[in-house]
Amino acid sequence: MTRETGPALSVTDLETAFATDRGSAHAVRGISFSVQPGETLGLVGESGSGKSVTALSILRLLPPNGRIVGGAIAIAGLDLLSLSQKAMRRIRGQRIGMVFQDSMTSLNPVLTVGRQITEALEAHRRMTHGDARRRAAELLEEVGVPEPARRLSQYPHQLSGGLRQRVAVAVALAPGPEVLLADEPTTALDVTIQAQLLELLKREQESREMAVVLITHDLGVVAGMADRVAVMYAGRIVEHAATRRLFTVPRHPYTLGLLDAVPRLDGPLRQRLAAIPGAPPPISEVPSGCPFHPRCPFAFERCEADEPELKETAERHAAACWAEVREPV
Amino acid sequence: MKVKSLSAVPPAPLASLDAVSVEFRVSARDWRGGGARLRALDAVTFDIHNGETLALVGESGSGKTTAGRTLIRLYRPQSGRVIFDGRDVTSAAGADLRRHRRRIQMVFQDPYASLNPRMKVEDIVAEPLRSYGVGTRRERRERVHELLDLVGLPADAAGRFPHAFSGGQRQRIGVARALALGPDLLIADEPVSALDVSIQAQIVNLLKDLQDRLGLTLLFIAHDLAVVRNIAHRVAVMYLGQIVELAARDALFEQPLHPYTQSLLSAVPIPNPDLERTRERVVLAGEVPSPISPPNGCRFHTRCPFAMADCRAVEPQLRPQPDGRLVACHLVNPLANEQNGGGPR
Repeated sequence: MTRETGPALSVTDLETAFATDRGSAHAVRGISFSVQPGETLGLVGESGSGKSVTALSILRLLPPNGRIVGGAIAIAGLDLLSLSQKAMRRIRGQRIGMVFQDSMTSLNPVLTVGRQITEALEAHRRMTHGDARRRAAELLEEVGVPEPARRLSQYPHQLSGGLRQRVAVAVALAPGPEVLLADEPTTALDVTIQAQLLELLKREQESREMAVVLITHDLGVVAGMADRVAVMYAGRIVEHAATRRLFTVPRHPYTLGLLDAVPRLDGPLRQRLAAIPGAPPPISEVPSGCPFHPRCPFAFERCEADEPELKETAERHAAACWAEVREPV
Repeated sequence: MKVKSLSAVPPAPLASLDAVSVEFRVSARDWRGGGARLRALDAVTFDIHNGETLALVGESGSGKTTAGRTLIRLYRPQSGRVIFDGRDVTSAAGADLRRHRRRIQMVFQDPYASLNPRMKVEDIVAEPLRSYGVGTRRERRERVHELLDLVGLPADAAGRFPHAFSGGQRQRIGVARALALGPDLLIADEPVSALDVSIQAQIVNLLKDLQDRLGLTLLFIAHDLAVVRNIAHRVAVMYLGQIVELAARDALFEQPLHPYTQSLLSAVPIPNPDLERTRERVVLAGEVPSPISPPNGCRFHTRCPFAMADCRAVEPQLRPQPDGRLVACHLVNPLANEQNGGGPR
C-alpha cells in the first residue's frame, strides 16, 4: 500500500472555524492525516464531529462563514491553501474528485447526464466534444449504468437514486483524479444498492490507484472498505489505526463505545444495547478537557482539565486518551 | 387469504391486515376517470399480537410505511379488511374512526420535522390529550410530567422549546407524545434512522423498556436489519407491496429462506473487517422495478439469482413452512406440490 512517492493527500494540523452569533466556533480543531495512492482512509464520526467540514476544507468549499484558520493541506506535495481561487478550481474535479451523499443536489438538475460528464472531460482533459461524448458513454458503462448511450441525454431527475449516484461517480472519475473524497456516498441508498455502489468504488479505486477518503458514520461500511480508520469526535481525531487493529483492539473509550453501541447482525443478541449516555456536543459547546469526558465511563479529574493529544500507543496506532483503556466494561 | 398464526393456540390478534390492497393514482385522471395507478400494498396479510414487536422491513417502495398508515386508517384500502381488537375498521368513519385512531399512536422518523418548533414541549406532549378532551388543564400537566419521566427526560424539559434538545432527546419527546393517550399499539416508522449511532441504542432500549413496563404492542417499521434484530419478535420482509417472508426473529436471521431476505441480510455491512471481507455475498443486480408496472410472476424474479421459468410466469403464494414461518417463493414451495396440495387463494 505505502510507496516511496509520498502521500497523495496530506492534511496537517487543520483548523477550521465558523463565525456564529455567539462568536467563533471551531468545527475542526487540529487534525492531521495522510493518504497514499491506492489507499482508503475511513473518516468516521457522528454529527458535529467535523468529518464533513474536513472534506469541505480540503476542497476549499466552505460556506461563507467558515474559514480555515490554521494548518496545511497538500495534494502530492502541492500546497492547496496558497493557491488562488482560479487555480483551486482547476484542482477541484481534475485532481480531487468528490462524491456526496445527495446526488440530487450535487448533480446539476438542468444539464443532461452526458453534458455533466463531457463538461468535466472538456474542461480538465481538453478533449473535443465528440471524443468527450464517446468517453462519457464508456464511463457510464464502466460505473454500471445500463443503456449508457440513452442515459447521456437524460436529466438527473429521470434516474433512480442508485443510478444518479453512479452518474455522480462517473462525473467525479471523468478527469482521472488522484484523490477521491466520498462523503457518505451510500447513506441515502437502499442497502442492496449500497452494496453495488461500494463494490463499484472499490473496483475503481483499485484500477485507478486513487487515494480515497471515505467519510461515513457506518462502521460496517468502513470495516469492508478502509485500509486505515480515523475516528473523529468534536473536531478532533481521537483514534487512528489500521482498520483491523481498530476493530480488534480499540484504544479510545469513544471507539469502544461506538463499537459496542452499534446494533449488529453477527454475534450473540443482548437484552439491551450498550448505549453511550448523552449526545455528541454541538461545535459551539465543546466541553473542556477531553471533549468526550462527560460521556466517558473511564473519565477522571485530569480528563476534565486537560485535552489529551493524539499519541502513538503502538506501532501506527494512535489514541487521544488519558486513561489506560484495556477492556470494555 | 387467511394466514394461520404462528403459535399453536392463537389468541386473537390485537390488529390485522387481511388481504389488504391499497392503490394510489399517480397521474392525472384521463377522460375516462382512469390514469396510472400504483399498487402500494398487494393483498398484504399479517397479525400483530398483544405485547409483541412485529417489524416490517424492506427497501424504499416496499409498502412498509403504507401498511402502517393503513392500519391507523390514514388510507382506506381498495380491498381487504383492517381489523383492530376484533372490530372491522376498514370503512370506519367519523367518531368510530376517531376512537380507532386514539388507540394507535405513531412515532416518526425525523425528530426535527415532527415537533412543532413554536410549541413548548409540554404543549407538544399534551396535544393528543387536548385533542381528545382528556382531563383538566392541571391533570394534563401532571400527565405530561409523568410521561417525560417515563421517557427519561428531566421535568424542566416541559417549559422548553424543541430547539433546546438533541436529536435523541427530541425523539424521546415524540415517544412521550405518542404515549400520552395510553395507546394499545405504537407504530414506530423508522424511529432511529435519523439518529447518531450512539443515540440509536438509547431509543431502541427505551422502546424495549416501555414495552416491558406498559405491555405495549409495537409495529416497528425499518430498513435497518441490524436494528430490527435487536428489537423485533417477528419480522415481515416486504418487496414491492407484498410480504415475501414472515418469520420469528431468530428463524429469519439465522436461516432466511426467501432469496430476497438472504440478499438483504448479506448486503448489510458488518462492523468486523475479517468477516466483512470474507463473507459470501448475494449482490443483487439492478434495482427495484417500478411499482406502477411490477414484473409478472414473482415480483422479485428480475433480480433473483435463482429465478426459474416458473418464477417469470406464476406468482408465488405465501405458504406456511414446517417451522411456522411464511414464505412466498417457488424454490421453497415447488409448484408441482402446490397443484395437488395447497389450494389457490
